[in-house]
Amino acid sequence: MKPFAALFRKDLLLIAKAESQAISTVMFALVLAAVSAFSFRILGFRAEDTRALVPGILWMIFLFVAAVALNQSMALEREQRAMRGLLLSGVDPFLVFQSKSASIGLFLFVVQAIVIGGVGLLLGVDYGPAAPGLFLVAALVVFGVSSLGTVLSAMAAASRARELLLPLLLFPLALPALIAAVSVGRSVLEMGRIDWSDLWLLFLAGWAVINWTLGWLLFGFIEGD
Amino acid sequence: MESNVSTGVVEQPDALSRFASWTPLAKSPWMPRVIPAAAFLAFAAALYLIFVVAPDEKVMGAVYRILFLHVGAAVSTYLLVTILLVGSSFYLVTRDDGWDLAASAAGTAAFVFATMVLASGMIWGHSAWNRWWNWEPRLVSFLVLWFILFAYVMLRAMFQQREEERKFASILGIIAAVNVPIVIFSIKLLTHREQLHPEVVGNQGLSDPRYVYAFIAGCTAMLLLAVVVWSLALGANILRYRLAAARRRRNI
Repeated sequence: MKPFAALFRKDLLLIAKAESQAISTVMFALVLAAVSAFSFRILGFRAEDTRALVPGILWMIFLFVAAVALNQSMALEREQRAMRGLLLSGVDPFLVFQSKSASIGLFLFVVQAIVIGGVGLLLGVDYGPAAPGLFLVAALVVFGVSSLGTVLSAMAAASRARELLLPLLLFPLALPALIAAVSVGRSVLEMGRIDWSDLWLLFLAGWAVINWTLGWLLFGFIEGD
Repeated sequence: MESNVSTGVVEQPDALSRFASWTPLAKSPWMPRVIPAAAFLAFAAALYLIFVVAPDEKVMGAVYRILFLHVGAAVSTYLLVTILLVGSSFYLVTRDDGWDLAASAAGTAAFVFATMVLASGMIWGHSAWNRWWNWEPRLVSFLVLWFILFAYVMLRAMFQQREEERKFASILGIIAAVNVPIVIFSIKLLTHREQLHPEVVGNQGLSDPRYVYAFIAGCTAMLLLAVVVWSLALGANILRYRLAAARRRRNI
């Protein structure tokens, strides 16, 4: 566990040290929330109507923010070929993958929590008892997307057009999670609680686990030869 | 092994040999002659069965005939995605470049066939639903698959180092192929209210045997065409690979 703790600390520090980037990512998320509020509220949707749009808005914003955050974090690693050096030092690639995806996942979860709050505030939607359900969905989506995104962004970072390549790879692959998250989010908002027998919830968890497994199996191939 | 002094690259005189001896492409007449000929005959038979033998359908008239090739193209896309998965996995394990060339050819061909499925589905949809695009689950799942395959093709164009391109394309190939059934399943999970796509075969809809013949012939022809397109793309990839190797050897 010790090497993982050290790596995880390093990755969190990396996010914290680049504080202007972290703050900018949060601001970007809030700008997106404001843009959606402008697009939907101003045009005459009332608060009751926008409630139906909220799950979609939440996870669309999340995908955009995730793409930006993943690109940023991998660009830092790429600059001095830090990750290659790390792997050459004999650390298990699985641990590198774990700490990278866990740290970016933690960051994304915090950002998504802010987005959930911001969207509720700006669109005038009161989540009430549905809030814990939304956070649970957020945790599952973050788990899957950060695993998948860590592998994809490590590859995209080496390309000529990483800003373009990562969303192009990530968005279509994350669509099943988006559909599931919107679906669960909608039922949570309608019922005000989590429906544990919801098939989509199971699907979302399964999707996250499959993509985590893929990341675990494939990450070692990215920097190693 | 000869060493290239100026670049430090160690040349493998015929890195493809292991793969080339496995693939029937090298010398046997199967890939270049027999399968294209079979595909040509199958297409002739399929077109005859589809346009002459199979009767018009009660509701849609003649337009429904696009279905025979549409389904064949969809099955071919899945076959090519399977080749993509196998080629990518074997490349990562063996690092034999031939596997990557096979996977790359399959990825490109799969994109072409997915485009055919989307185009024929839209043409069919226009006459069935009077709309070019419907947010119908099956159509959407192919749109997502089409985006994923496009990303694969794009990824291959974005790296300067061949080694990196091969490695990353194989990783993406595996991720993409594993996610294809998930995408299809996720969209199947959507409520049946939203399902407009006909379940022809599942609902025993092909009652007249003439429909069955046309259906089987259409699928066979498309599958053979997929193998031909794949082997042509693979042949082009091998030529390109040998050209690059020859250029490196001569320092061009």
